[in-house]
Amino acid sequence: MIYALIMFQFHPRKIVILHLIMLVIIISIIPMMFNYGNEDFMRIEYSRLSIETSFLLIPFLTLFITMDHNTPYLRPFDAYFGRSKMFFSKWLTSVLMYTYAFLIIIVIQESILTLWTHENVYNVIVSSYLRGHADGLILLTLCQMIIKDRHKTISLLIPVIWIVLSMVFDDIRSPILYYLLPIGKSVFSTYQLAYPYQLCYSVLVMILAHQKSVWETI
Amino acid sequence: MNKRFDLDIDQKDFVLVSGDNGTGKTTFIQLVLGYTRPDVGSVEMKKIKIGFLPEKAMLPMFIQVSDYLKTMARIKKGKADDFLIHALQVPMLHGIHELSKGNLQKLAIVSTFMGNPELVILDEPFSGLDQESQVILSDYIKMKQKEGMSFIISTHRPEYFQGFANKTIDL
Repeated sequence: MIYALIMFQFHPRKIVILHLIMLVIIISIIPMMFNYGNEDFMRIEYSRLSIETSFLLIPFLTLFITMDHNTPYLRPFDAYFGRSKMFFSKWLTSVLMYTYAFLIIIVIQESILTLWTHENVYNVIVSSYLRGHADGLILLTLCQMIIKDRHKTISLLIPVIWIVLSMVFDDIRSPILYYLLPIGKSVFSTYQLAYPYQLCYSVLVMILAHQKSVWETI
Repeated sequence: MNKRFDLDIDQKDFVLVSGDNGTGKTTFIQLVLGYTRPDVGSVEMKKIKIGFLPEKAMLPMFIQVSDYLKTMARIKKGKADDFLIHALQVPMLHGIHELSKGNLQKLAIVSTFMGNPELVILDEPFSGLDQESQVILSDYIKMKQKEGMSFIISTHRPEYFQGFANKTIDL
């Protein structure tokens, strides 16, 4: 089923656009490298900026991956395979495509830095990227729950709202807000149990999205 | 849809749903499929494979017809019926986005019957089909029913199935 969803939803044109978005995310950081002479300073700034850029652009990448999940041609599949199986297949397809894009982006971004500074920096920033990845998982599940084919055009608001919330959560340091929506940019996401909490939260959202998908009128 | 009725659908049943525009034929089909819930009464369904052909053929656009059928065969674990493909003259080497309305309908019909569904629901199956294809399809449906497939068909052309349907709903 996942094979079929990738074939139908990620046709060559969409794959080209997906890779263009990935390329934009990767190269958007490179010009900033030339502003820093000192290698240590550059390494810190580059890592910080690459994470910042990821937090800003990856919500749009997530939206792009999930936006076609409710297309009308999948309705006969609901009848044949059942809505529950279809939901999990669509979710898993989105997670796979997102993880693929995310991995490519961070590996290339960090390889550039490693080549530039001759220093292995993977260990330093891996936790930040894990937070970013969990962020994307929550967002793509929310997208799958919210986006409907008939009002797909306004789905662009979802990543915009997500980015605004990220900024707000970065400033307002309230644990209650973090419990309600564990956005990776919050200061609380650096806590030891934050990443497992983010994963549990994304599973919870996935269960809610599944229930909605099974019972809603289509 | 305000009409109240009880309906059981068993194996080999052929339910013909007819009625004027706006009387609730598509709503009835959506109720059976579980796409919508009834305000009054209930719909109970066994867990079965349902082949569904919507009123408007819905297919992924940017893929070649042959690739689409190959993928469908892979996920439904059943080949497309070569007889139906040849009889309806489905253009295999075109992209789906290049197909006319009639050819889209033909391709959707072929994919509906793939994977040996226990129940086939066809909403206006003759929409966009020429006279010859309509006859081929109605004969094919009759053949499949004899093989044990159940059908719910909503149509403006009930004359094709007169004397064949064992249950009729006139909305």
